[in-house]
Amino acid sequence: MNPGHRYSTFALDVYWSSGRPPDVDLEKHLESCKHCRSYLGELSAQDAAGAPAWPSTSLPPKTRQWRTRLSPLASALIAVVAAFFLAIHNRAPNDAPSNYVGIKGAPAVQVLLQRNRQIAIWDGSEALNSGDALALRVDCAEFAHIAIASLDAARGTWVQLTDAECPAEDAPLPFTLQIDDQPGDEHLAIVFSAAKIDNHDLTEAILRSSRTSSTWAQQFTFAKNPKMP
Amino acid sequence: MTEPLQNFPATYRRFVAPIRARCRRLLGQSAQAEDIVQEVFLKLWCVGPRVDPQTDPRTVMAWLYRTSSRLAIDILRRRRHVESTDNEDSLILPCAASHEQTIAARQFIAALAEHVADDELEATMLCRVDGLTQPEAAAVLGVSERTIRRLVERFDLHTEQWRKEHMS
Repeated sequence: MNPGHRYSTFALDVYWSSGRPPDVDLEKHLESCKHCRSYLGELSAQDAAGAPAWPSTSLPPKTRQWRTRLSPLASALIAVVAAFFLAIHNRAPNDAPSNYVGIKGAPAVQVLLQRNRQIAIWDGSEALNSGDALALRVDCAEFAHIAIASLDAARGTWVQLTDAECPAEDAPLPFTLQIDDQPGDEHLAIVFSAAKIDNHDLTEAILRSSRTSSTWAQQFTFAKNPKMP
Repeated sequence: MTEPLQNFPATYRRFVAPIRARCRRLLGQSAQAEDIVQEVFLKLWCVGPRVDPQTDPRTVMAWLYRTSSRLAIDILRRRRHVESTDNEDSLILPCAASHEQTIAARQFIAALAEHVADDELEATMLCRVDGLTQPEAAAVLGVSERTIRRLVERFDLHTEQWRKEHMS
């Protein structure tokens, strides 16, 4: 490109996203073009101001065990996406403990269902198929941490799958939940908390359907369609 | 059942500012623009191309441009106008994009979104709102330059018809 070249948003977006690598022509152009300088400056300003965070997380060993147990056909999945949106009601449940503390703005969970490379918001009732993948987008309100657990139906115990710091806004969490072909409903629990909690407190929060200022639990039951012969 | 995507936060951080700027260009500084940003990256995460250090950033950016265009078209078809809370004078564009042309183009795109084919809208967004050259737009959409020229000309015809109908 020569110095007289005019630069599009796409060209500057690629340059900025590449970490502004050495480019003699573009650098010379920028010396004399206030429009392009302003555009790149705006991208950097947005970056510095902080976009909604995509939380970093790593999976605990338990998660891998659960995946192995529940998802023998995981390699065959991907495809399906449908998505569903569930808002957690901003009120205490009827059996809420007496120490319930109302908080400003309840947390919310959006469940996105991926099916046949299509993504949609789940309607809250559609049965899942083997091969579907679920993603979660959360609004943590005033909570700082989120943990995901599944019910081990055979043992009747809740097992933590993963946890993460809450994203700054309602960003998707960086993992997917893949549906296997085993019969029976899938039970998930999402627990928001002020700080990271251990498995005992996690289980307590789930069993009590906690809605306090320190923990907030919500259970989801996903029906599954029987495997086609 | 859980599939981690360990490197995705870095990819998101790398590309989110340009895509956020683009969604605002297309839809104005609105809550829906912010929602689309999240949805674009969710799609990248779920069904997008593999992104690793060897991936050409142009490939990823082109995919993000195409996906954000389609999501923006869906929004515009529902609301039929650009819903902006910002001052249009504050729109920051590089030298290849004309401020006046961009403002006019996005208003026509919004007005015609319901009646014009997706590919015409996508090509016009790239050439008239983002200021891409026809070869650049052709590369982003994976079509020939001739196709881009034809799509934009067809959109201009729709614009003219719309003007006549609304001015009469």
